[in-house]
Amino acid sequence: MSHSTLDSAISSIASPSPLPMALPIVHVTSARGFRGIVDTGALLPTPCSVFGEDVLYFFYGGGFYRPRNHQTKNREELPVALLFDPSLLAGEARFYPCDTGALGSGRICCKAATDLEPFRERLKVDGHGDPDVPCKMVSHLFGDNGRYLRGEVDPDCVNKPDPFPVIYELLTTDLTGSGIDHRQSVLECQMLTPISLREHLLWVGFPETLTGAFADLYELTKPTVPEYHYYRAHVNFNPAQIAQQLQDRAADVIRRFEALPGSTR
Amino acid sequence: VTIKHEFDLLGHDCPLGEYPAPVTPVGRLGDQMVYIYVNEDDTPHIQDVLDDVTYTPHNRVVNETLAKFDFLNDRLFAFSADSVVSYSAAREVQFFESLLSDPHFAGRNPFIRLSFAKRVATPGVLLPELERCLSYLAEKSSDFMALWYSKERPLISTLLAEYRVKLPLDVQQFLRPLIWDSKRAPVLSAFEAKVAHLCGTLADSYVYHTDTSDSPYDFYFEAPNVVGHQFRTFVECKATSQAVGIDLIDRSVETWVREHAQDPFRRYWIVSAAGFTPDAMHRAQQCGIELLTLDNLVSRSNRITSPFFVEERSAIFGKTGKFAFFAHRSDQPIELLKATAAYVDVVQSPSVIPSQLLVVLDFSGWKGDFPDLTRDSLHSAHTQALLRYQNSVLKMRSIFEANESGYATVWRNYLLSPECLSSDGRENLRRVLKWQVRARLNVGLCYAGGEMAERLVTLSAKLRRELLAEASTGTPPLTTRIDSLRKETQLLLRVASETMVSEGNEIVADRLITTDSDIDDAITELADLAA
Repeated sequence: MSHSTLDSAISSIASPSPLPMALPIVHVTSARGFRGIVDTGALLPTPCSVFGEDVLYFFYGGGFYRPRNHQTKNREELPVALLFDPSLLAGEARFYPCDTGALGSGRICCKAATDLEPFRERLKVDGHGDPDVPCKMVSHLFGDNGRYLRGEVDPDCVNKPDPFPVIYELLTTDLTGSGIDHRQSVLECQMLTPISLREHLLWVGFPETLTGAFADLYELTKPTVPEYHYYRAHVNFNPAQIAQQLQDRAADVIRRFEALPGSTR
Repeated sequence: VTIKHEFDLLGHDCPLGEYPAPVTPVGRLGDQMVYIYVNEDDTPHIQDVLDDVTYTPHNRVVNETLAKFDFLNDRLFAFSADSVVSYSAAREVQFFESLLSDPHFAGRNPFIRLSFAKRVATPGVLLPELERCLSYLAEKSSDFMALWYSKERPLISTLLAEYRVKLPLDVQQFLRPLIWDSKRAPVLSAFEAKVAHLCGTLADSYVYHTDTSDSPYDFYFEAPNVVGHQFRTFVECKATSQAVGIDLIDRSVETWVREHAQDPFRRYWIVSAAGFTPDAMHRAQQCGIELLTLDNLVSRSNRITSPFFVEERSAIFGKTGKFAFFAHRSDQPIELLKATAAYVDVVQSPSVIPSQLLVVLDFSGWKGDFPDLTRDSLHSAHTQALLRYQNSVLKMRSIFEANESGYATVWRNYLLSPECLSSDGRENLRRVLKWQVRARLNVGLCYAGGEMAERLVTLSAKLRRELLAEASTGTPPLTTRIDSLRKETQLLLRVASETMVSEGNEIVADRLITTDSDIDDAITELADLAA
């Protein structure tokens, strides 16, 4: 039986105008890799077991706090978060409406997850260098940026073409028993090419002890330098609490975009 | 307790990816591999490991060292992958202080030091680390340094709120090199203070004043220097020359001593001679400066909290009469200054407070360059010394405030006790009068401040001159002097008590000296009593 893809479903229905404003995207890495990233001056795609290729992961809109369903073992790492301007979306990217790591690992055990197989193809939305693509996904799945950032999926999804109804079911199913909460409903952005840090970088969150590395990054990004927030690191704090702290601080930056008028194309 | 015994520490994870660093204990709790993190409320967080576990296993030596590791109450710190120590979470501040007392610790990453210093949160520890980070950033990115400081300033001010430390708005004030007035050679830097502050209002501003007037307060460091002329650095040279960008004129330690012969403080110089010959020490000796050679004192100066050290320094200063001459040899003058900074911390205690710190850098045998010795580095070393001093003063203050009966009361009772006045107790009393009372007086000065302090200085100088004149004539019959000294001591203690009254202490003073006339009256009264 052939199933339609999310990409084709979005193309088949009219998008509202104006679209929600494009939001920043965030890449989360481990503190131990931060100096290397700064030295390289770029984020590099890394091998991904779910897709079998080198991939660079971002979360659209910054919702990166995932206590248990992260596809890597990053939940045991002290995080470093890099928030990029939405203009980065003008590059080649692909989007998924949920955490592919959780789907690929099989930790999401529900009928919707099964119905969405093969999720790699069915849920993929090609960016085609168009920053409006994730805006359309937000619009069709959530309604607007505010609802998206609060994780409120639009109930009208059930009236939209396949696979919208199944995605709605997936995003609204209570998966807390699997250690997955509502933050599963964060759009995932994947890029397959290196991303330079010299441009687009808006904000960085890192442990205080790596301030020296950030100073190098600051010089690298001049004159468009990023804002920053550091967290205390005289001991190794619970990474989940640190991630929550970073997400809260990143949200302050993201809210500036949330309130802006969107594209009318 | 059951859980504690089930935990098997296998190794650690270093999430920062570089050492030295706090590291995360990794081990087996029952059947489960776990990481032990710290929650923001300071409680331990046990994180199950779901995926593959990666960690640095501990070798046999480390395992033996950490055999008593208590994962609920202890934490790990690693100097390297194979050098791991544990410390009690309850004594984390002390552990961090001990790490920071080593100036070479984490030398490549000052921000680790700063993060620990923030946990300690005292001016003497935190401000030097702030300056260290600023210097580091100044070299890397001066733009970021300014931004970083603007964000750190309010944070650190909050951390030091109880000390009322006021950080300058302009970051450059931290980094501004000390202006050197060659006309004033050989005093490299004279941090003068107006002695105008109560201890509680010490921290008017953490800045160097660099006004160019001819006042004696051209260069002064307001905040920590509560007693005037507390710190000086003397650069000795045998011929006019230039060193580290500073024009030197032909001056020697003998000249300096001679010219300052009338300085009421000079008897308590701590002289630190660095250099390449013992010449300066010997000549200082010939000037009447008692020699105290304790190279090992510096090497152990980081252990200022050890009981051994407390005893040792008491013994040292108990034997010291006219001058304390502290000698340290090093081929690296800047190392000397750093050591001196630590040394200031050593000598600042309620029992031993030098009235003046004189640092002598002996350039008499100077040949070649000193790549590490620059005006900035001297400035930095001085700053550290001063900050340590400030911290000591604040500690002293807390000691007084914590003592329910009051330090002055304790000493008053002791001095007036029969055992102290007995023949066996005379030597003790003599020492007490020479050192403890002076110390008490100086602490009193910290409280008194302003004009009051200066008058007290005059009074104490008279007392010291009497004592030293007597000592210089051999072994005097102290009996004839003891009563007047006791009375004078009482008077001094009353004065000190009075200042404590102003601090809310309940000690009642029955006399207050406020004017020169009062001082003269007191001396007359003492003379009458002695007669």
